[in-house]
Amino acid sequence: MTKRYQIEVDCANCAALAEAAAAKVEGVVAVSIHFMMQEMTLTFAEGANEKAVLKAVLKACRRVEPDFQIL
Amino acid sequence: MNRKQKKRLWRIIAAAVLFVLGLLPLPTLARAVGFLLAYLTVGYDVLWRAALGVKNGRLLDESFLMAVASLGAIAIAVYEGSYDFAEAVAVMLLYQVGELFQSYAVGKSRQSIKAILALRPDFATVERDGTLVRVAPEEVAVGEAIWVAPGERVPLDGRIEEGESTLDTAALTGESLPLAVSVGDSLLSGSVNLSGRIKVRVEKSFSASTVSGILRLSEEMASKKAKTEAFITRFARVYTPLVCLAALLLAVLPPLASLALSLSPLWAEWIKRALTFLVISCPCALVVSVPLTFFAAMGGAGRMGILFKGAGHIEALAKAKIAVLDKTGTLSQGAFSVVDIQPAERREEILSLAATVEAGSNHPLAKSVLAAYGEGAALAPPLDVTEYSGEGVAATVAGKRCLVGNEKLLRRFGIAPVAAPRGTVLFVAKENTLLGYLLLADAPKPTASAAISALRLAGVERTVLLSGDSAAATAAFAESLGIEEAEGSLLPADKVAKVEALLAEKPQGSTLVFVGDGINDAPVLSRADIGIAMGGIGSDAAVEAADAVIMDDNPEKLAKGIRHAKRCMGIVKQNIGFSLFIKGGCLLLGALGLAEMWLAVFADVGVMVLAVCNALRAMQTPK
Repeated sequence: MTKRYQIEVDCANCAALAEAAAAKVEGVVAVSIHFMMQEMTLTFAEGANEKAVLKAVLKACRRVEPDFQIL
Repeated sequence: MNRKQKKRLWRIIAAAVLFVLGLLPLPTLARAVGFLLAYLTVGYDVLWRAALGVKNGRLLDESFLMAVASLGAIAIAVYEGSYDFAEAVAVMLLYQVGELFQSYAVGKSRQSIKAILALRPDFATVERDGTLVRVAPEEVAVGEAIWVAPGERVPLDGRIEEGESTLDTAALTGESLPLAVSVGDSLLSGSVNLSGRIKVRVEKSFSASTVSGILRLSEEMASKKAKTEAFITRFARVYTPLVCLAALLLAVLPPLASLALSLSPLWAEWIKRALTFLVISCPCALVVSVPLTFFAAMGGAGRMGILFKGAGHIEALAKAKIAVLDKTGTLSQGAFSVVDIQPAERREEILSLAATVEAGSNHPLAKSVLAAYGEGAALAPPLDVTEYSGEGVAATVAGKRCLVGNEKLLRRFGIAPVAAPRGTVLFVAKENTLLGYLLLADAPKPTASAAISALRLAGVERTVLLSGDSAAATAAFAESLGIEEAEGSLLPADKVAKVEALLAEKPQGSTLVFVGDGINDAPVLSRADIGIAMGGIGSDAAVEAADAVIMDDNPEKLAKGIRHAKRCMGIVKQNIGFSLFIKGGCLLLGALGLAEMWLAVFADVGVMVLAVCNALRAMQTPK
C-alpha cells in the first residue's frame, strides 16, 4: 500500500536525513521524501498497521529534524 | 511569507535592534547583556537544534557548526576579558537572514512551479435540480452538466453546451496561444477557462479524464531524484566531518608547534581561526541550489509542454548523443494521405474515379482517398463491388468496369503496370486500360524536418529512424527528412534488439533517447536510457513506460528538451563550481587569519543567495 503525504520540512539536507531515518522504520517498505514538492511517498509493508507505522515514521523524522511535520 | 518565516523575521529585527544598541558607547556589563539577549533571541533555535543533534548522536550539521562557532566566539571574548559578543551576534544574525531568504525563495519558487505542474482541479460546479453545487471532481457522473467560470480549471473532459470562451491549454500541450471554443467543442480537463462562463456536458468520469492521466504522471516525479541530488547529500556527509577535522587541527597544531619552538602559542587566535573555518565550511548553498535547479527546470519544461517524471531524467537527457525515433505518429502524422497523382493532367478524373470505387470500403487507404477527394461533386454509387483482399477493389461505375488497387490487382486482370515511385501506390484502370496512379504516403509532420536538424544543433550525433513500416517506405521517409540511419519492417522485439545494439555502441558517458508513441513502443521506451512518449493524449502504455512525455506531439520539443536539460545541468555545474571556489577561497583566508568570522558568514550567505537566484534561471525555457 503506497500513500502520499503533504509534509513540511525546512531544508534539502534535512529531507534527505529524514528519508534515511524513515526508511529504517519497521513496516516501511519504501519511502521517498521530496523536498521541493514537500511530499512524502510511503509504501507500507503488507498487513502493517498504517497508523502506528506513520507515527513511528514521524518520530524517527523528528529525531533528525525537529520541525518535521506531516500535514 | 508563512507563519514560521514571519516569526523568524521578527526575531531577526528584534536582535538587529539590540545589536545596534549594543554598538553604542555603554558600560561593558550593559553591552554584554544586550548582546547576549540579541544572541539568544536570534539564535535560540539553532542552539536547541544543535543540542538535539548531539543528543541524537547526529553531530556536525549546520546548526551544530553555527552553535559551536558562535559559542566559541563568546568563550574567547570572555577569556580575553573584552566581553564583546558582537561577533557571535553578527554571525547568528547573518546566518538567520540567509536561512530566511533561502526558505522564502524556495517557497516562492515552489509555489510558482507547483502551479505549472499541479493540474488538479479542486472542485467542479455541477448543476443538480436547477441549483449549482460545488463538489469534488470525483463525484461528478458522466452526463451531468458543470459550469466553469473564467479563471477556473476545467475539472472533467466534456463538451460545451452553452457559452463560448478561450482556453489556456498550456499545461496540457505547452501551446501558449489561447484556444477559442464555443458550443459543440470538446474540452480537455486541466485546461484553464480564460474569458467566458461555459456550461459543459461531462463525457468522462474524473478518473478517465485527461487530467487524471497527467496527474498520475507528475505524481511519480516525487519519487525519482537526480543522481546529482544524491551526490550532494553524500557529499555533505563526507565533507562536514572532514572540515571539522581540519578545523580541529587548525586549532591545535599551530599552537603546539609554537610551543615546541618555545614561542607564544596564541591559543585564542588559532581557535578563533578554526571557528571561522567551521562557519565558512557550511555547505548550505550547494545543498539547496542543486535540487532547486532541477525542480525549476522541471517547472520550465512543464511550461513548454514536456513533463519529466523525475529530475534524474533531465540529467540523462542532457547527455543524449543518440536519438532513436519511431516513425509513425512520432515524426509522421500517422495517417496516409494522397501526396501525388500521375499523370497530373488527368488528376481530377483519376481521383474521382478512385473515390467512387472506394466509397464503400473500410480500408484505411480508401479513407485517405476519400479524404483527398473531399467534398467534390456527389459520387454515383458503384455497382458490383468486389474486394480482392490485399490487392484492391473492382466495381462498375457508369457502366464501365473500373479497378483501383496495387500491382497484383493489375496483373490479375492482365494489365501491365507503369513504373511508379517507391511507396504505397494505387493504380486506377478503366475498361482494362490503365489511367494512372495515386501515390499515398504517411506524410511527415510539418515540424519533422526542422526537428531533425534541431537535434544536431542540440548535440545529438546519431539520429536513427526505426519503424514497423516497410523497409522501402521507411528509407524514403528518412531520406526526405535527412536522417542518416533508418530501419524498417521491425517488430517490437526487433526494435528492442536494435536499441540494445545501439546502446552498446554509444560513446561512454552519453545516453540514448528514444521517442515513440504507440503501445508497441512501450518495451523500447523502458529499455532506452530515456524514453520519451508522444502525447499525453496518446497511448497510455507508452506514457506509462516513458520517462518524459511530450504533451503536444510536436517532435521539435525533443531538441528543445535536450537544450533545456543541458542548460539546467550547466546551471547545476556553475553553482557547484562557484560555491566550492568561494568556499575554498574563504577557507584559506580564514585559516590564514585574513577573514573575520562575520565576513565568513556574509560570504556564505552571499554565495547561497547567488546560487539560489542562479538556480531559478532554470525555469526559463529556450525559444
